Amino acid sequence: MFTKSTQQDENLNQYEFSKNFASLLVHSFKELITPPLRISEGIKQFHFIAHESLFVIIICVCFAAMVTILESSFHMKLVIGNDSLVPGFAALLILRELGAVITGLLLASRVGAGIAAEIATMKITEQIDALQMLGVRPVNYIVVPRLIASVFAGAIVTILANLVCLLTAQVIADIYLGFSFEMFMTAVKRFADFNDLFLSAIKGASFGFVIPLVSSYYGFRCKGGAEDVGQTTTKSVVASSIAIIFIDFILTSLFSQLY
Amino acid sequence: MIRFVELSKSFGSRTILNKISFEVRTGEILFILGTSGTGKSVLLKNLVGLLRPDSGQIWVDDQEISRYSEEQYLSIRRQIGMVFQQPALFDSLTVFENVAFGLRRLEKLLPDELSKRVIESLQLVHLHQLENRYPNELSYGQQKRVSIARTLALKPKVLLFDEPTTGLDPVTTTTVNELIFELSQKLKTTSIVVSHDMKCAIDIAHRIIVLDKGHIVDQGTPDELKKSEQELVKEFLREVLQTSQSAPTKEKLP
Ligand SMILES: Nc1ncnc2c1ncn2[C@@H]1O[C@H](COP(=O)(O)OP(=O)(O)OP(=O)(O)O)[C@@H](O)[C@H]1O
Ligand SMILES: [Mg+2]
Repeated sequence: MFTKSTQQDENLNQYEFSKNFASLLVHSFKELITPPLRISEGIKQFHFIAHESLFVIIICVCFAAMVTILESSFHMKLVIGNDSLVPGFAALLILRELGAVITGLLLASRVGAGIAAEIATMKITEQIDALQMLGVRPVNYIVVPRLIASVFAGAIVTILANLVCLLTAQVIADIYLGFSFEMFMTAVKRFADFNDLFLSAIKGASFGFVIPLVSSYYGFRCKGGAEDVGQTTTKSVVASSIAIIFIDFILTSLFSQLY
Repeated sequence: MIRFVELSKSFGSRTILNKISFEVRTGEILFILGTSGTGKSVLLKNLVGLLRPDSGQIWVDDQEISRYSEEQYLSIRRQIGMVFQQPALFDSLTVFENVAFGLRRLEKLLPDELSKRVIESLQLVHLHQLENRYPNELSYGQQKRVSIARTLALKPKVLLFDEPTTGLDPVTTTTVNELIFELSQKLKTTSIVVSHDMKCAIDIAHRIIVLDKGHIVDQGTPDELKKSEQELVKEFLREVLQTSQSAPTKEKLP
């Protein structure tokens, strides 16, 4: 009379997420196009993500720019005898890798950790259950606004980071290597163009997409008490960071077909 | 009427509920007693689809609901409200907004109807002065009562209480128990109350079920249980007798 269940029955409840990442991904896409879309929450999250992380990211990319210029100049002088290629080389490195990856990794540790801890806490304090009892789908309510906000923030912050990084590189090149603004820009233009900035923004958006997904995945899986929230947060930052490096590799190899 | 048929639930290799069968009659107050970790919360969450059983059936009226989709469960959750073991209030919302949360989503009310319903619900738990506070500005007991109000606001026909009085002071405990009793008397609300507290159970339950290690060890009316031969039931009763002898109003610590 009673039916023996299969693994599939377990998945009936979309929020018993302990199963797999793919189901969260699918649900998120579904919820992305299912009303209600919480626009104001999305804007709030965007403000939080972009505004809160911008300062840290800017500082980090400034230093990255300095190191890039000084290091590449040192080595180029050593190997080919002059440093005329430094601006172009640095610009490529910044636009194709540094700007997006540094932004992504910092977003993962700041924003990703926040999302994972928040959802994990909601899970263990039964707030997720309460949402469901009150007719709210947690993915729609929590994940989707963060996802949208993070995609836009990822792209925009990446563009800003790239511009600031390039500007710092120019200033450093001026001070230490004597490249004037015009000389620097001419050298940059021989290697890089606007497309590089655009592709970098695509990378940033992709990173912005995976960070909330990975973080919510870990958040929803949290079971125990405060200690587990901590572990969940750590795991989610590690996983997002690995995902970012991996996606960076995939996108870079894809984009290299385009250049 | 609600009926569980041979309901089983495991997490990994640990069997929490093992072929549990019982029924809940309309309008009655059913207490579920059991030691910590026997799966009382898991049992309640299975009824509203927050967890899904591995096998067995759950009947609500004439529907077998355990294989329902998330969508289908929406209508079940309109009928069956649950007060969780933890307050589970939404931190970023005021008390008022917490109580209004479900109403805004599930019922189309005019603004003054809405606030009337919210205030009414808060009055039931004696908290109507605190509507503009945030959850972190309330004591644990107050938070728990807000959470009861949030569930009551939707006027469900069936109420699930997961340890509604654990951690509350004796006076508030009595208030909450009276509330459960009144809802059953006046509105014919069916209540399933998970508790450690045999004394409350004897006071207001129509029937009591005692769970241990995934099985029902005994069930019956309070009077029937008082004659029980089961060791665990006697254990629970012994505490009641002791507390009522030594100090009639003194409560156990949570
Ligand atoms: N989502 C889950 N995943 C894995 N194990 C779980 C989950 N929920 C509960 N458990 C386990 O199931 C067992 C029963 O839990 P449950 O919360 O139902 O106990 P309880 O009877 O409500 O106890 P208490 O009186 O302490 O609340 C516990 O051992 C718990 O660790
Ligand atoms: Mg419990």
